[in-house]
Parts: sequence; structure tokens; C-alpha cells
Amino acid sequence: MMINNIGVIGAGVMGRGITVDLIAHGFKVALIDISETILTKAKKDIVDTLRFLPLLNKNAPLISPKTALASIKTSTHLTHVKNCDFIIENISEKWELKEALYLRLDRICASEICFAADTSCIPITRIGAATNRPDRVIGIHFMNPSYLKSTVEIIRGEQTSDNTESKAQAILTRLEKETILVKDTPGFVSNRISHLFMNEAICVVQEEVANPGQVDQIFKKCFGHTMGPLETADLIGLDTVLNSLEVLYNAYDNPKYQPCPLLKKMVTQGRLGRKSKEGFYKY
Amino acid sequence: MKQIILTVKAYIQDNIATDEFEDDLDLFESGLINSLFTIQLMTYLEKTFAIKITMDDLELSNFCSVNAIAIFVQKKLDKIST
Repeated sequence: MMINNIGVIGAGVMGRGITVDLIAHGFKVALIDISETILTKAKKDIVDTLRFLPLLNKNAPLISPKTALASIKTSTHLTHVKNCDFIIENISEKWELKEALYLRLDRICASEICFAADTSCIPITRIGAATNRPDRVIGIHFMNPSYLKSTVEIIRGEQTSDNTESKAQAILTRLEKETILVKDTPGFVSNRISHLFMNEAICVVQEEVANPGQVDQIFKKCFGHTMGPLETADLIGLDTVLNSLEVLYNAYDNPKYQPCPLLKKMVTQGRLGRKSKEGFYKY
Repeated sequence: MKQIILTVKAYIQDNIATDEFEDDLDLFESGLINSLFTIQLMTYLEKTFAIKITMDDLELSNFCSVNAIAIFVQKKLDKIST
């Protein structure tokens, strides 16, 4: 079966970036979110990003707003993914929400449809077990922004089939992504390590050892990273970072993942990073 | 033109927490602005100066420095007024 129509669940930072990437590579997207306001904003962001993408990537196609809008359907109703060939889920990193969503998806989508969880930390095997199709559930950890990143981490759950992996690989090949396949463990490889970095960087700021700019400069200028850990946390969203740390803390039962009090405080204050215009930096 | 330079520069400085920089500094090569901010900057230019950036305008040379951006914006404004 040729995969052309992708259902993207969640129109946050990741969902938008993935939708841009999919449309730039000729896919049609059904973008679903629980909020009409978020969908309206997402649609504008996606169209703008597609318009300006050739500036950032000279190989990107020229996509007019009209073409972009013709390639995307937005809805607050999950049933609108019923005819999609493949699902990519990007909702909040909260197990109760994911479990409820996958139960519904399992009922809505035909039995042969595969689900890809773009989760930060929740094990794919656990997500698969919430459905009646654990062999057709796989993890694809897209990086942000997806349309500028060449590589993704993919994760096979205990029951993920070869056929599901092949379908995911076919989509990722069309998206011109290199893949790194890892085993299923909370946080996989990328977030299990990166969230320790970010949490410890926040502790350093809390203890006034250094300010955010200094912490990030050390990573960029001394280690050659493109972004520092606090800029990265702002980009991901501090609420998402906190949720992921809580998942890791509970999964490993290890205090090294205990979220820094400053992170909790900033999330309580609504200082969530780029998406709220203020985090460790102002935007 | 001077006003465009001041406006664009202030926006960049406010948004990426950077110190003073030259008007002809290459914003991309210097690493001063990243890809996400580039898109944000494009939408800011359209909104602030009431111009439309078309597909034909998508050349890095139009946006590589504050000076280049100011020349580009001025040309767009001149077209609108003629």
C-alpha cells in the first residue's frame, strides 16, 4: 500500500514541524488537536514555514500558501484520521492522555494501519499494549524542527513487527531521514541522556553558579554544540521537559532524574520557553 | 533607511539576547541567527513594514545582514509607493 495520507495527532511544536516536513515531501496531512485556537495558529505557522523554507534549505520545494492549504486538513475530531494510511502521534507527554488517545485510535483506524509514537520518554511497548495492535506500533523520535533535521531515532517495541518497521522506514526514506534504531527503554537514548543535561543545567542556574547565557555558551563554545541545554529546554518547552523528567524519574526510580525545583517553579509560573515567549530567555 | 536598520536591529537584539553587532555582519555565517529565528524574522518584517515576501525574494543575499534587510525592505516599500 502506498502511504500518502498521514494523520498527525497534536498540533504543538513537534506536530507543526513534522507537518511542514511531510507536506514539503508530498504527503497529505490530517492534523488533529483538541483546540481550534491551536489549530488555527498551527495552520498559519505551517504555511509561513513552508513559504520561507527554501531560504533555509535550498533543496526545499517552493510551496505556495494555496498548495500548502490544499495539503492539510485540520480538525478537533479524531475520527478525521479514519482514512489515513499512517498515524504519527505527538500529544503531551502524559501517560493518561496517551493511553486514552491510543484506545480511541485503535477503534477508529483500520486494523492494518500503523501508529508511530513521537514520544519523548514513554516506552513503545507500553503504548503498544494499550492497543489491540502492538505489532503495528513503533516509536519515531523526530528532532526539532523536523524539517531541518536529517536524522531520527526509531524504537521498536517488544512486539513491533518487521512490516511496521518497513512502513516507517519507507516514510522516513521519503522524508530523506537517516534512522538510528535503538531498543525500547524509557527516554530511549536521546532523552535519557539529554534530560539529565538540561536538568543539571537548570540546577546550576538555580544555585547561581552561572547564568543561562554562560551555561549555554560553555556548551556551544567549549563543546561545539549548536545549542546549549537551556536554549534547547526553552525550544522543547519547559512543561514538556518537566513531564519527561517525571516519566524518567518514575520509570527508573532513580533520584538523578528528580526535576530541579527551579524547573517546577518556572512551569507553575507559565514560563514555558519559546511557546510562552519567556523561559530562560525572552522571545 | 536608517529607521529600518534601527528597527530590525532592535528586534534581533531583543529576541536573541545578543550584544551590539555591525550592520553588515553576516547573520547566518556568524551564527547569530538560527533557522527558527529566520522564519520568525521573515514574518516580523512582513507584519512590521506591511510588505509581502514572495517566492522570488527568497534569496539569502536579501537577508544576510541588517544592511541587506534594510535595502530589501526599502525596495519593497518603494514599489508599494510607486
